[in-house]
Amino acid sequence: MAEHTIKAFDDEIDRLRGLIAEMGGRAEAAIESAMIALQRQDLALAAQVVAEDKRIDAIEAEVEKLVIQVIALRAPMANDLRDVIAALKIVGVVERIGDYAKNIAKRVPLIMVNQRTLEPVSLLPSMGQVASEMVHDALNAFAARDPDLAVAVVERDTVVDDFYNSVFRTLVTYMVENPKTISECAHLLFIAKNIERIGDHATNVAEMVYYAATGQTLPDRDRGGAAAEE
Amino acid sequence: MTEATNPLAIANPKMSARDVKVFYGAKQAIKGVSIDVDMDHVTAFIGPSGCGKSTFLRTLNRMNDTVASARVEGTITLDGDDIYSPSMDVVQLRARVGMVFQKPNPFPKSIYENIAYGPRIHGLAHAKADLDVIVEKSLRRAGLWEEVKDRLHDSGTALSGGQQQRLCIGRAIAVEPEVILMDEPCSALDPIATAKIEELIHELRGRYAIVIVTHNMQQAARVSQCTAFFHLGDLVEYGVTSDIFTNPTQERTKDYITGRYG
Ligand SMILES: Nc1ncnc2c1ncn2[C@@H]1O[C@H](COP(=O)(O)OP(=O)(O)O)[C@@H](O)[C@H]1O
Ligand SMILES: [Mg+2]
Repeated sequence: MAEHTIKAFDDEIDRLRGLIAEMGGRAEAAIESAMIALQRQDLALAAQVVAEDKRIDAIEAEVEKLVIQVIALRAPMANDLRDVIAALKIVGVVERIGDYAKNIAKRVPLIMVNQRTLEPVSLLPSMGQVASEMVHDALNAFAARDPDLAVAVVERDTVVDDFYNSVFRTLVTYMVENPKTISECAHLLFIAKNIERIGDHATNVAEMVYYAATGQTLPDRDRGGAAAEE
Repeated sequence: MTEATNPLAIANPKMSARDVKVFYGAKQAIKGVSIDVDMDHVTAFIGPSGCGKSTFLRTLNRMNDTVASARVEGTITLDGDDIYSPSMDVVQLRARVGMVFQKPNPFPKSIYENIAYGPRIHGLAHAKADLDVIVEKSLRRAGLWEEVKDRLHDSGTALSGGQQQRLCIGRAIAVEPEVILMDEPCSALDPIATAKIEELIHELRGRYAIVIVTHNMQQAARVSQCTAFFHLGDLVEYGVTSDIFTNPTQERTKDYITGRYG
C-alpha cells in the first residue's frame, strides 16, 4: 500500500500492527504452554503462563492508548479507519483469550489424582491445538489483511465446537464410571469450555479482520451445532 | 439514472448534470461529469486543488458565463429545465441557484441593505415593511439576527469574518433560492466561525438543495450526506458520505481520503 503523505502516521500504524502481532504471539504461546503444563503436570510452566498474562494486558492498554492518539491526531479514514478500529476491538478479544489460557493454567494443579494425571486429560491437547492455530491464523490474517485466511478461521470454529461436544460426552461417561474423580473432571470440563471459548474469540477476531480488509461484514454463518450453552 | 450519479436514488433530483465538459480555451477542466443533486441532502465536492471542483460548481448557476475563455458542454437541468437554454433568464437563474464564495464578500453597504438589495431588484418586495420582514427572516435563517439586530445600519464589512460569511448566506437566502452553492465557505474562517457555518448548513438542509465545495475532508464528512470526489477533471466517485469515508470503492478516492495522495 502506498505510504501516507505524513510519515509519522505510517510509523504509528506500523507500531500498532507490531504490538498486535506481539500480543497474538503471546496469546498463542500461552494456550500452547497451558496445554503442555496440563499434560505434563508442569506446575512451574503453569505459573509462568499466569505471570505472563500481565504482559498481554499491558499490550492491550498500550494499543488502546495508541488508537485514541491516532484517531485524535490523524483522523484516519476508510481502510485506515477500519484498521484502527479493528485493532482496538481485536486487542480486547485477544486479552480475553489470554485470560482463558491463564484460567486453564490455574486449573493445572487441581487435576492431580493420587499423584497421577487423570486419564481423560489426553483428550484436550489436540483440541487446544486447533484453537491456538485459529488464534495464530486470525492474527496472521490481520497482519496480511487477508480476508480468505479470515474466512478459513471462521469455518474452523465448528471443529472446536465438535471437539467440545465429544469431550463433554466422554467426560460425563468417565465421571459416571469413576465418581471419585468428579471434582477433577469438572475442572477438565471447564478447561474444555475455555478452549471452546478461545475458538469463538478467534472466530470473532477473524470476522473483524474480514471487515477491516474488505469493508464488508461476513454473511451470517450457521451457528447451529455449536457447543452446549454456558 | 445510475447509482453512480445518484447514490440515494432520488426520484426527482433538483438539479441534474449529464456529461458536462468544461473547457478553458483548449484546456479541458471537466471531463464529462454526470451527477444529481437533491433537495433533502447536502452534497460535498472534495478533491485536490485544481481538480475542477469550483469549475464544476460554477456550471450549476452559469457563473462560468462570466469567464470569456470558458465553454460548457453537456446538459444541466433545474427541475427538469435546461439552464443553458437560450430562454433561461440568467439573472433569475442565479437567484434560484445562489452562491456563497470562499472569501466573504458583503457589499460595502449596511447589513440591512446587504439583505434587502436582492429582494428589491428581483421585485420580491418594495415596501419598507415587507423588506423589514425579509431582512429579519433571512438574518434569522442565517443565524445572524441576534448578533446584529441592534445595528442593522452598520456596514456589513465591519462584521467579523464569520459574521460576514453568514451575512452572505443570508443575502443568498433573501431571494428565496432553491439551491445554494458554497465554494469553500469556511476556508477564511477560524474554527468557531466554521462550526457556526456548519451548524447553519445543517439547519438549512431540506429547505434548499445545498452543494458545498470543501478542501477539508472532515468538513465534508460532518456536513454532507453525499460526497463527490473529483480528480483531474473526472468525477471519480459519488456516494453516500458515510460509505465514501469508511469504504470507498475507487482506489483514487481511497488514496486521497486516507492521505496517500501525491
Ligand atoms: N478562469 C480560468 N481560466 C483558465 N483556467 C482555469 C480558470 N479557472 C480554473 N482554471 C483551471 O481549471 C482547472 C480546475 O480549476 P478549479 O475548478 O479552480 O479547481 P478546484 O476548485 O478543484 O481547485 C485548473 O487546472 C485551473 O487552473
Ligand atoms: Mg476551488
